[in-house]
Amino acid sequence: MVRLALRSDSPPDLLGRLGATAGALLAAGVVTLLGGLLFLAPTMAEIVLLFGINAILVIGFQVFVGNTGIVSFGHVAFMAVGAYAGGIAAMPVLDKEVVLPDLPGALAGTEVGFLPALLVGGAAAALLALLTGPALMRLSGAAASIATLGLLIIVSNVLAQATPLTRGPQSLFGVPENTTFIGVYASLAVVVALSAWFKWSGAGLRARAVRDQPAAAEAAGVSVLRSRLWAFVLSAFITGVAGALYAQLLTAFSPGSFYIPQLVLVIAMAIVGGVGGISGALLGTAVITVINEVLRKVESGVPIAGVEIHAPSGISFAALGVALILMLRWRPSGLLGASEVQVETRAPAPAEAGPARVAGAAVPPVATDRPPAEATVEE
Amino acid sequence: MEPLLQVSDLVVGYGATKVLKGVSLTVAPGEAVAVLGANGAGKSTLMKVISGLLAPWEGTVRFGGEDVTGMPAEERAALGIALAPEGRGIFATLSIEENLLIGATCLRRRMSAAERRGHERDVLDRVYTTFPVLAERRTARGCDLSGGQQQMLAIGRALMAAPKLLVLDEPCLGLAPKMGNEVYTVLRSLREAGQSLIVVEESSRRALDFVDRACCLKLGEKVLDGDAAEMKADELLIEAYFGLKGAGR
Amino acid sequence: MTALVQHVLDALSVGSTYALLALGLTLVFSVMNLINFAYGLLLVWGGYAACVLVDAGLPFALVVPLCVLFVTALSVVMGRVAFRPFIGAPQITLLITSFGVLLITQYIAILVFGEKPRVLNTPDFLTGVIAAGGLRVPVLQVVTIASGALVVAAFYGLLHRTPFGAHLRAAAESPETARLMGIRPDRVLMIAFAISGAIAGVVGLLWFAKVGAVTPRSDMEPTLKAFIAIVLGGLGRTSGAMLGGLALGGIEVTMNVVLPSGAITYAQAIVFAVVIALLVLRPGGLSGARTEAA
Repeated sequence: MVRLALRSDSPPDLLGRLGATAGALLAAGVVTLLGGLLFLAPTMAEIVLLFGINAILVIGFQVFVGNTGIVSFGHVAFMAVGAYAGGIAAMPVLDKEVVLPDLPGALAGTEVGFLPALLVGGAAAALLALLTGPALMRLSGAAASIATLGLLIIVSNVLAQATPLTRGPQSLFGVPENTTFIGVYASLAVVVALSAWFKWSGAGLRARAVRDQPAAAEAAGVSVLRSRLWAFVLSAFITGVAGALYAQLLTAFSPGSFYIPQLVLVIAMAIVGGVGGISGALLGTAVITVINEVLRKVESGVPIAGVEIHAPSGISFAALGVALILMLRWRPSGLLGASEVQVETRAPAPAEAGPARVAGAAVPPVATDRPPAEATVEE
Repeated sequence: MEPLLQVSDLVVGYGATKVLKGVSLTVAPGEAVAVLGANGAGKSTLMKVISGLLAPWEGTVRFGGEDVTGMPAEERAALGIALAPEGRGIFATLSIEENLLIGATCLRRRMSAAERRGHERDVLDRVYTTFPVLAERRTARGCDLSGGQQQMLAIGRALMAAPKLLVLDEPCLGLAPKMGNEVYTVLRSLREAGQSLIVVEESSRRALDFVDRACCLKLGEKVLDGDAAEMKADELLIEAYFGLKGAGR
Repeated sequence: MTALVQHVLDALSVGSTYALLALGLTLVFSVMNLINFAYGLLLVWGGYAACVLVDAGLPFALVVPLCVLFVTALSVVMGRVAFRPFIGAPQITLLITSFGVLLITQYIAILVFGEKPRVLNTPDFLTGVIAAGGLRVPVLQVVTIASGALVVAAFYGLLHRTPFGAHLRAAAESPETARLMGIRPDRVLMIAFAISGAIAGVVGLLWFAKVGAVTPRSDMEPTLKAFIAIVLGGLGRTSGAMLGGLALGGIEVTMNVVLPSGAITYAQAIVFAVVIALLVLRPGGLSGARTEAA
């Protein structure tokens, strides 16, 4: 029997992992389908593409925050690095001579296509995570969050000053507009599969064991540093890919594009959807995108009862603030919490057989935020 | 006579786990009651409900004839319930004297400032007379005291509030037997002075020696409630039944 | 030699501003675990209040207490409306809540004052320079260091010499036991917000007197500096907060002095990198408090 379920416990074996990954992919598929329909309307095209990129971004954020419990304020830095690395890699050699005349030789002489540019962006971000992670991941809780904020400031400062590479605080332009619907949503599918697979892998379980019971996990032989580092690097890679997609959609951007406002957006999307899961990340991105677009319309003026009403600019951020507070007050684990869409190929296992069996002897069972099998849809 | 404390049919727990399953308890003015039970029986949970730190799911708490079920801990303290919590709850960063004075905070609502200051001096002197070791070390920080001294401080601090009901949650936990005896010597003199009190113990012998009445909790239910002297006669039976470790302590 | 003294004075004045910021932030953190992203915005509101009052023609001697009072009240309102419902929530929830509060209060500032910088006209004596020997010391620097010392002294007097200070320390250490003593947690919290607000009022005046103008987005820098200072010093300790603030001031001034001109544009990045490196060596901060996992 194949059926679809929304549950937060871990799938017990390989089949379960495949089912969970398939479930996440299915959720991404639904999002893609809806996006595809909207994409047909010409005014919606860019919004649909930005939505897809934001979804990748939020999933990248979620891979780290959901599995380690550390709220990162630094992920926008990975997006920035991905955007600059991917954007410069994709820029045609002739344009580079004009836009970035002082670019070092090896970089100046190469240009790559869309897909390699994404990989370059992801790899550059992952490298940054690999280099800074061993330091940052030693910290916990709010201290870690603030240290990641420090990373964002460092990256922002360096990008704004490294003029030969980035044009400094001025905007970098001339990146080819390679990002297409297929490009974004195919990346989304890959990223969703990657993060679902990671979530239910041994590495993911270890990261969550450290999140829930650091002392017990360490006593069981789990390395706090290494388990967090894996999640950090993978999430940086995903975020970097999102940055490279963003660069090739907007074609021009500056270090200021990747600072506090972008951070606010990512956090709001992740918190509203529920930082514990991939399905939540998709839902949160959708909800915030809709709110944001509606408010942007209001900012540019809406006729109400014959009078054109303008909201002063910036109202969308105030609204995000309200959304954040209400969400944290009434539903702190987000709309979906840690629940995931999963494909089940058999009757649900008895509750006690779930986490304990996967966890095995080495890892303490991972606490779930909500009881399993909240809603079940027969197929 | 109306009971000082009347707890009726308490049901409470943490998350989805029920810890107390309908427990009742009364304490008459001037009475000393022991609450006995093995680890996990729900003793400390019951004390938290009595002091107001935990709101019950069902049941009521009445104190001095007033329904205090929904009243928060800080207001109950002002009414005259003083809990010396399990683990003593000494403020490690505050000095001994600050720890004691903070015990009188709840009097702010009962007395005028001048009255309170006079009272603070009186009780402080009395506490220092009862526990000379605290007087000697009054400027030391809470964390610098030994376990036994901390327990003295916890009892002294509870007395600062001039409580109508003194609640002691495992006052001898983690103390050497000799220290434990000293604690009980102090409790006995309080009792002789007419102080109403509840003492929570895992071990039955020492407690049964000096209280009027005792009740036993097992897995969140009250299984015995009666005269301490009578219960003492059955002590061996009780211990066999509950697995209380009394004899060896 | 005079150059060295000059640098030390620079470091002290920058550092004491950061130390005060960190102190105000830590106080609230110690009673409710909140690291307040909106803290810098209190400074901004204080700065705007000063602008409005000065422009209205009030003497500066009156502007200062009024501003401090205003920011104190604002801090209490913020604490009561936005943060009190979250007592007992996890650190991270509180951190993100404060992020939301920042977005809303910043928008209100934009609505009221617009995005354009507003100039703060300070009295002439503040912009003066004291020349002694080879030293040229700005008056504002002296005022900053003096106010820093004064506020810290008042703070410690309050915390360690009054019954209320004992209540605050008790509630910070163990909220539950404090309640058993009859200490009302929300009252303690509101007073913590008030003190933290008063400190923000003082720092706001010093900060914007130095910068010269206020914008709705001037909050980020002080907030970040305070964050870095409290983490550097060791979360949750008042002594750590001050140590962290002074250390951060010292690191900044040192970087500005020793970095070659080519690297000076990267000063901010280097300062943050140094702080992170220090944290790796001492994850509990300079004061050595062990940070707990969230």
